[in-house]
Amino acid sequence: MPGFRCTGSLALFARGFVAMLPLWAGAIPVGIAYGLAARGAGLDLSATQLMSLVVFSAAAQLSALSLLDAGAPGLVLVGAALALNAQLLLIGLAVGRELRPSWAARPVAAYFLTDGAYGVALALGRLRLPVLLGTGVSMFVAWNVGTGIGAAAGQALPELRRLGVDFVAPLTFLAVLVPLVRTRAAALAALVAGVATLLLAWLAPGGVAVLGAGLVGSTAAAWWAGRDRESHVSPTPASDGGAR
Amino acid sequence: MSELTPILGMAAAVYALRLAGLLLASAAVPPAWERALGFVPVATLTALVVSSLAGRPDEAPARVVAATGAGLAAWRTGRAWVCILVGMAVYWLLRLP
Repeated sequence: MPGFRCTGSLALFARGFVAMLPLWAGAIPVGIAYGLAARGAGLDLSATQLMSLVVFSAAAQLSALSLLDAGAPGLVLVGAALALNAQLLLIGLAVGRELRPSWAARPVAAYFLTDGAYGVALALGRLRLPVLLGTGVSMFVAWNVGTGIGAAAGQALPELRRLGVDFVAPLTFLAVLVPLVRTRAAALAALVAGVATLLLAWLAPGGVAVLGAGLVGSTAAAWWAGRDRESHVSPTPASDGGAR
Repeated sequence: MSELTPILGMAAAVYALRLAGLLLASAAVPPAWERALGFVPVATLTALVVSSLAGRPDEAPARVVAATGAGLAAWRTGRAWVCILVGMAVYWLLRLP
């Protein structure tokens, strides 16, 4: 990495990598579940693994499985991937403001940036770039190992579809969603989006309804949080996520 | 691999999001925008849960009960794998007969 002192940076990277190991216990099973669900949805071994290597987002990858199943077009998949990871823009802003990384380091740091990696790096004291890279790469390894195990197991298990592995997707969304609903505004976002999904499903195909409901729900919550702020200061919903 | 195009499209989109924050760090983002962005994942995740539960009316009762159990597990433990495990276990039990 340009601009680092080599030995010190390596030690900090290792510190980040090791600090993430306890979270592997959560990331690997979810990776396995994704791998199985992807094979159940009809993706081949290479597509299943490629998605974990280049997209590296549990919510986006599982949403892709659900949306492909519903026959949604590619653009809706891309839209959902963006919406589900909107918090990464905020985390990137926070990292950029605090670290001011070199222009050469930014593209690398961005590739491995996740909620969990940021949260753990932050918990290790003053945020430092090699530590953040260590936590990020650590999570990347765990996610891809889990994916590989799940995809390979899917090869051996017959009739994944009949077992209902597609149900893994909504369960994973719930697992990511529940810890995020910590404020009244976040609960309102969920409530409005849930109702809007059911209403919009009458008008638009599945994927479009999801994107529309996401927009309506977050706008309602932002309006509510803004109103709330006028009377007293309330904390913004920071996303520090669980395992991923 | 017919899914190659959407996979690469998603990869580019998510990477752009990761990079944009780091590149825009010196720019001023209106607080209202930051506030709204923070709620987009919550709203979209809920929409995906509701839409995938509504998308299988044949199995709706089992899936709704299992999802409720999984949601409670996520709330109590905060662990994703416990949530998935509880949800799948309840779902399989309900489908047994």
